[in-house]
Amino acid sequence: MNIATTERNPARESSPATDALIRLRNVEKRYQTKAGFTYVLRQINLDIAAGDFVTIMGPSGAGKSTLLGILGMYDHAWEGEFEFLGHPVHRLAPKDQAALNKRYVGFVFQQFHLLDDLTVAENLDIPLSYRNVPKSERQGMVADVLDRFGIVAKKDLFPAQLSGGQQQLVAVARAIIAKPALLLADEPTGNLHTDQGREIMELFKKLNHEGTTIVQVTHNEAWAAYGQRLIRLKDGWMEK
Amino acid sequence: MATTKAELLQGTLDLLILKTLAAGAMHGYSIAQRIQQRSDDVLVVEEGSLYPCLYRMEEKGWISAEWGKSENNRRAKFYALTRSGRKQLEEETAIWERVHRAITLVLQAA
Amino acid sequence: MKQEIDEELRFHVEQRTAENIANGMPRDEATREARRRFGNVQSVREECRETRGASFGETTLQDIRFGLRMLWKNPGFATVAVLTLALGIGACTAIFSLVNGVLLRALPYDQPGQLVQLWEDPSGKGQDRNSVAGAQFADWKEQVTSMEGISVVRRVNLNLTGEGRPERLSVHKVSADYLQILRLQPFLGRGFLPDEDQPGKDRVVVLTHRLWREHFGGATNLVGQAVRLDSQSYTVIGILPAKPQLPIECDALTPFVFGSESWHRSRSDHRLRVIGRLKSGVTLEQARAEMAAITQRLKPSYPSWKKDWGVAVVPMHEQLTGAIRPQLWVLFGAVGFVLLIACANVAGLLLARMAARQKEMAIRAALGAGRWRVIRQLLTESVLLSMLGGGLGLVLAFWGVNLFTKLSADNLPRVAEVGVDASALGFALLMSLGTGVAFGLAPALHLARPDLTGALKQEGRASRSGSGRLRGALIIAEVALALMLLAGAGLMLKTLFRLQAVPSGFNPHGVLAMDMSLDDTKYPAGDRRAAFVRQIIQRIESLPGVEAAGTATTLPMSGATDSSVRAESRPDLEEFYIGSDYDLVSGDYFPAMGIPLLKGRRFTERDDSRSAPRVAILNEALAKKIFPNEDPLGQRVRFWGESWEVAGVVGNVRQRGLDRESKEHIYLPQAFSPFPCSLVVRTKVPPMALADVCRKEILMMDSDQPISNIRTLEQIVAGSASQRRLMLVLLGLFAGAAMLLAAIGLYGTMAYAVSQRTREIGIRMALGAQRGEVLLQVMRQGLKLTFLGVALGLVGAFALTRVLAHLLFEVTPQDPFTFVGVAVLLVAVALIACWLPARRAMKINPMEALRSE
Repeated sequence: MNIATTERNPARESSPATDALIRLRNVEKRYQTKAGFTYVLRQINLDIAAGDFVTIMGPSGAGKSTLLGILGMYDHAWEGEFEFLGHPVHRLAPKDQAALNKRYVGFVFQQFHLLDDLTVAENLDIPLSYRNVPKSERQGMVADVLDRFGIVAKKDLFPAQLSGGQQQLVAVARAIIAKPALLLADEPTGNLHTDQGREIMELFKKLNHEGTTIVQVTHNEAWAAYGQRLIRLKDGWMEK
Repeated sequence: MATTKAELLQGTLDLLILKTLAAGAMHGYSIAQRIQQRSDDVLVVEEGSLYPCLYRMEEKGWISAEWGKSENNRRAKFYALTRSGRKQLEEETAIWERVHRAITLVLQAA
Repeated sequence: MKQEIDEELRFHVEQRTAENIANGMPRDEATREARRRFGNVQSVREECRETRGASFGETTLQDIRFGLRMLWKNPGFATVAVLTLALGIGACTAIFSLVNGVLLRALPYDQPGQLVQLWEDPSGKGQDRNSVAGAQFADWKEQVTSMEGISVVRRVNLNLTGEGRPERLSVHKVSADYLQILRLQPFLGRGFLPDEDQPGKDRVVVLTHRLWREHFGGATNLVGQAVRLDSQSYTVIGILPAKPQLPIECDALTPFVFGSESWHRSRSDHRLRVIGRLKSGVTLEQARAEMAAITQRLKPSYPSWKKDWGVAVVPMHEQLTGAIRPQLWVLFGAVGFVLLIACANVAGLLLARMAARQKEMAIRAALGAGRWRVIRQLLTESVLLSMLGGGLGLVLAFWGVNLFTKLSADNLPRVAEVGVDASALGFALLMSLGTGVAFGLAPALHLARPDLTGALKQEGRASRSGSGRLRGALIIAEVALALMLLAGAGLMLKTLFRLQAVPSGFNPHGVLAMDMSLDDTKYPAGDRRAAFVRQIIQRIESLPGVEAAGTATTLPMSGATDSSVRAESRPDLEEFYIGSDYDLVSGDYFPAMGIPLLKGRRFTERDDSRSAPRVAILNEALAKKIFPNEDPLGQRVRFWGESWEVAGVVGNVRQRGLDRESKEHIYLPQAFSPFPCSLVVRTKVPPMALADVCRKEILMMDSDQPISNIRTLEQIVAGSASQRRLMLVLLGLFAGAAMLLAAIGLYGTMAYAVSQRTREIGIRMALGAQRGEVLLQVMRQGLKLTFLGVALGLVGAFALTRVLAHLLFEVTPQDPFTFVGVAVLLVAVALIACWLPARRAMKINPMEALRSE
């Protein structure tokens, strides 16, 4: 079943066999303050199908990053219903949500957030080591990804020795090395020059073509166009 | 003869004081007097620059200070040249002479 | 400084004015012109002052003010640091006061180095100390030339009766020149005259200050009055000052009359202590040589079994403090460890604050502060901190020393001279300064790096690794030191447990004990005294709540007296004499003490008389040794030159302490005792409840009979281990403090590490790390430090615990169980200290942590 909401990229066909990857119903998040409740997200209803490339835009404080955190199952404090690949996330304990996250989600940060004391190769290895992949396999997977992204020569360098664009490249590589079904990106080009940003967006396009579902948050209209769907948030509400 | 108040560079004042004290210990007022006299009243030292300069030179160790009795039996601070002060005097005199020669050459050339 | 500048400028103006006037200017114009030429005097003055720069004192004051403000702004850090330092410096000062008062300071007498104590030495090699025989003393007195004088000191108990409560006094009978030897003068009245140690002239007494104050209320007219001691009238001739006290404590001094009893002329009855003063200029070696020579000369007149005996000349200071010296130094070392740990903690705190102060230091450098100036400022701050800690520590030390001296008055020689005095103050001051520099230097050098302006741009990442390594090393050191202290305390604990498990040979529960010294005149030793004692025992036994009562000369663990016994069937040769402790008992002593009767019978009333056939009771050890193959009952033994029949055998008792094997022991009836005795009463109710009743009962029999030293037998047994227990308490205290401080240090390091690594932890969690994995990784650093520290500490403990060897009982200094036990304890505590801050790491929400960048 496929429920679409706003614009859709006409070039992309929706195959009836694809199930919704993500289904949000009335998802809300609020904080308790001295003056009562502050809502960060209100009545979010959203379906994302496998293979979608979704962009979330909106003014600062609209709740975009928060939504991303919920989608990635990093955030467990919200209300509403959330189905991920048929799993009822809203009924899962945080530990089980984390397990889902580990299996299906990769995350790219605006500030790259590579580990400075580790080499590029070691940085790429980390997600695999947390997923109990045996050592022999890991080496192969890391080599694979290094090759795919064209950074084999840089595998023993430290993040401080790379440019911003290269670091974000490595960060994206790290996010997808465990072959997640869903890639979340929070302002991935925010700290990059336009050229470097374009490189990253092209990379996203390629990954999406290869089947990875991508949800990105961005301020930039040009980068937003890479996605085939746009969701606008304002004050926690989804704009129709 | 009209006195010209020349603006003295700080470095030059150092040199003048050092040379004056080479003749013997004296207090601030005498130093100013002596410089004025020896230069035929051309160089008049501003009080406002004399004392800070003396204090600075004392800090650097080129001159030493001691309280004593002046000619008219008043308490006054007497400055004297130290050994490093004597050395400084030699060096600065040498520099001054080199500069002086150089300037003279330039002026002649014109 | 300002005045000097003013004066100089004023002089200049005056000279100028004078010159102007000389040039014809009118006075005011002259002054005005002179001043004008100076221009702005204020700015000239300022300029002069600036060139000079602030003096050392001014900058230091500035630094102190700034330091105080920094502490005020960081109350948490300041409190922890000051308290930590107070603990360390306070404990050190307290122990220093102890060591100073007891060991370091000279005795409070004139030329104290010349005072000695003389002993007979059975080993002949200077190792043993034995009391001196009367004839020996007479010989020495006659022949010695290297000493100004020697005096006997004979302790007796006399009853003070008359006005006030009858009191049993500990009296020293001394030679007439005793006070001269000590160079002590009574502050009221006089000392002994040279002839007052002759018979007839000896009924004079010098009172100590304490007795005078407590019993006589400090009456000013006491000199010349008479007092009754053991029903004899003595005239008070003098009263000693409060300080200095006599080297061996007593209540009063009376002259010792030589020759009044037979044992005074014996060479084999050793009951005297002897002190002496070397002549000025005579060294200890010379005195020793002379005494050895005298001994050689006198050898022919010695009994054969003393032919190898020598003389020990012991400096008075060593005599009084030698036994406790090693322990005090151990404590000094232990408390030094605590101080080191405290310093390490504070250094760690300072290092942690470095990151926060990088920017401040960089700005200061940009404003012109030289490297040394910055270091000086930081050192001033740390010295300020340590001074505050030291001040508080002094208060702690004062309180601690007070408490300690009250609790351990019996165990500590010279305890009256122990206090927090000027030298302790000086010590505390020195400690404060020293520790301030010690823990402040490394962080200061680290902060004041030459490339400070570069630090403004960086985020101080480079500093983290350097300081991190230093902090790690500090933690390892702390853990190691704490482990060593714990090992020591653990060994002491095990020793005390072992001691308690030792069977004492008697039943100490529910027994009351008290000392009675019987008036020699009223109850001369012999049948009359024995009858009186029996009467007392009967009356006590008739009281409700009393099961049994009896007396003995020396209760277990209250001392021992020994002599020698021989089986009568053996020839009278030295090799057949067996050394044995002895006691004179009356009443139901054995049942009251719970000592089992193994063979034969106990003493009856019939035996308790000098005209009765002499019977004795042996303990099992003596019986086995003297009669290894025969039944001891009915055999005869020689003791005190007389023949006794063995009537019974009782169980062994650990007379000299739980840690000493039972010795041979012979018991005789009270009638033959010239000594005071101690009464034991086995009660059905808690013993102390009957204390007053017993006392009243005895006073009813004789209102002049004082009872002293009422305590329970359990207290006596506990008291025998009191020195060890003291050591345990102090070491335990220090070890506990060390462990706590090390744990705090570990906690701080871990908490700091977590706060610094929040970003990294957030990334790892976002990448899929489980909570447990994160926890483990965070704790890994802490665990590594702990294990390294424990390993180092074990090595150190292995090497150092031997200093406790002489205190241990049935425990080796390297006892593996103890070592493993304390290691496990320390690791457990460290685990908690690491886990608490690591727990916080687990709670990090990756999204929030990474977003806040």
